[in-house]
This record gives sequence, structure tokens and C-alpha cells, in this order.
Amino acid sequence: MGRYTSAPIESSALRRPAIPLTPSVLAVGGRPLVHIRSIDRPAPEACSSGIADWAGNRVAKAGTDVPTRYRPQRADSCDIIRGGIGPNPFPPNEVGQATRRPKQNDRMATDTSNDTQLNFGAAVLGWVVPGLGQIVIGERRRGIYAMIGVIGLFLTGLLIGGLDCVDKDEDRLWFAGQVAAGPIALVAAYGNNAFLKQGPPESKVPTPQSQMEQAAGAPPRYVTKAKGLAHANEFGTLLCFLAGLMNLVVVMDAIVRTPGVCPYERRQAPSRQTKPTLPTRAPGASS
Amino acid sequence: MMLHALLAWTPFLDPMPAAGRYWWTFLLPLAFLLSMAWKAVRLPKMEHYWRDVLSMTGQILAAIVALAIGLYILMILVMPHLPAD
Repeated sequence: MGRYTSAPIESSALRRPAIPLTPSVLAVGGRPLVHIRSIDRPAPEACSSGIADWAGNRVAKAGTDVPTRYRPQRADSCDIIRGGIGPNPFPPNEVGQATRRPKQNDRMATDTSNDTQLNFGAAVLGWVVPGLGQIVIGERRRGIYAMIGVIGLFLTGLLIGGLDCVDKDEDRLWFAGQVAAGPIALVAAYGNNAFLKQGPPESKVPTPQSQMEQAAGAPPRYVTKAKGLAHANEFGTLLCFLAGLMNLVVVMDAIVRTPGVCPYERRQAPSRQTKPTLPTRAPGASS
Repeated sequence: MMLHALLAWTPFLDPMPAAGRYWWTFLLPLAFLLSMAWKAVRLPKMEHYWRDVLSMTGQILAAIVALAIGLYILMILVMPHLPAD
């Protein structure tokens, strides 16, 4: 059982009319970010046996502080979307815009892709050439570093494991990740098939047969001499796979990135600011 | 033997010779290039890019070394002393 029970008590809040639904608009530079139908619930108020919330439930004993979760919330907090308790401290003006200038953290709670521009063209370019998506949207340095990282991973994998580490037939699951690195993976897979698997017969050696194959008189199977084995093949496959996964990250970054703006800063915790204090009333005071 | 293997090696076509013996050295380019790509998209500003890349590379290598030490302790030192039944 929680600290505060929700036993109904007598309060003037019980006689309160239905909860009004009012649209709130947060805007940056006059441009609306998102329209929210927030529930402007009144703040908890004092009654005869304690402090009641908008529904008449006691949230605090008489003479004690109102719990933090029942205090009025900032408009940019997530609680306002859930219908936070307390009046909207930033009511919209007559033209439907917020009465304050929203800060960057406002986007964390209010950005529901109405304003986010998804750049799928940059994503396609980023898949074709890793990092090109960032370059075409103006983040040249970022794109070049990402390109070096992804292509470097892939080429290092090919250097260690050879062409055999990109195999769309024998290592399908690995190839599914590797192909995210772009057409370079398709080219490597084609090269593996054309130069190694279907190469000239003199470039192949018979594989050791099992006892069952020998007993059955099965013909020997031939594989290329460039077949990767053990650590070389494992590391090569892993590096090419990681190149694909990293390029997936780079491509997704190109989709949401705006030049000069880091799309991840908004995920930081909102800065701690002094919350508006609940107006204190003496227990038993009439509303 | 090693020289002959290197002379017969066709880069990007054949697997690297002696990779089985020195496989652990591949962790360094793996960690460094992974950090390059990751930090390129995650850093808000690029002023301290190389410092952060080297830092993340060191963190990855340190984590792998710590994991290796932990597994060595578990498998070589602890497991033999456990009762068989």
C-alpha cells in the first residue's frame, strides 16, 4: 500500500465541474511544434481532513506538504501529456501560442514528429556510400569520419578474412547485417561467388571426407584454397558485420539530423529548475 | 615459413596468414574504427572528436581485457577447484 491512500473525502473539489480540455500549443519562433490537448487540472487544495486533488482524493494529511508528484508540473514535462495535475503554468494566449519561449528540452516531450523532418534521401545516400548522408546535409566532417569508420571496418574485415567472410549462401544471417554497409557488401558477395566458389578447378582442393561419406562412396567435395577458417574467418565476418551495423546507425542519424543541431541533446534530462510552489492554504479554508 | 605465407598472400582475396596466432591484435582496429563511426554521429560537437575516439577505444579494450581476466580467473583458477558432482 502506498503512502497516500486514495480514500474519497469530502471536499469542494467533489463539486467541481468536469475537467476542461484545453489545447496547448508550444511554438518556436511562431512555428507550432505540436498541439497538445492537455488536461488543466486544478492544483490540490486544502480541505477539512487534509489536501485533496481534483478528484477529491486525499493526497496529503493536514499540515503536511503536498507530495511532489501532485504539485503543478512544468508545461514541458511529460506529465502534461499524461494529463498532469495542476493548472497549466504557461497557458496559451489568444493566438494559441505559449506565453513563454520554449526551451530545447520542450522538444523531448512535445516533439511527436509533426515538426521533425525525416530526410530519407540522405538515408539512401548514406546506405550507398557510408557517411554520404551526413555530407549532403552539410555535416561534412561528421560524414567523412563516419565514412572512414564504416568503410575502414569493412575493408579491415576483408583484409583479415578475405572475400570468403562475406558469403550470402553459407552465412546468411551474417550477410543480412553486412549488407547494411551498402553496395560494397553486395560487391564482395558477388566477388566471393565469382572468384572463389566458381573459380577455376586448379584453385580448389578436396575437403576431407567423413567416415560416412567414405563408406557411402560419395565423391569428394571441392572448396577454394582461399576458404577462410577459424580466427581469420571469424574476425573478418565480425568486422564486416560490425561495419553494417555501424552504417545502420549512421544512416538513421542522417534521417533525423539537422545541420548544426544534435538530435540527441534533447534526450538529456531536463535541467532542474525551481518548480512553482503550491499556494499554501490553511487546513479547512474554503475555496 | 611466415615469409612464404606472406608472399603467397593475396590481400582482400585470401585470409590473412598467421591470423590464428595474432588474432588478438585485430581488436585494436576493431575498437578504433568502431569508435570513429560511433563518435562521428553521437558527439554534439566535434571539437574533441579524437580525444573522445581514443577514450572510447581505450574503454573498449579495457573492458575486453577485464573480461578476459575475469574469464581466466573463472575457468583456470576457480572451476578446477569446484566439486565435480
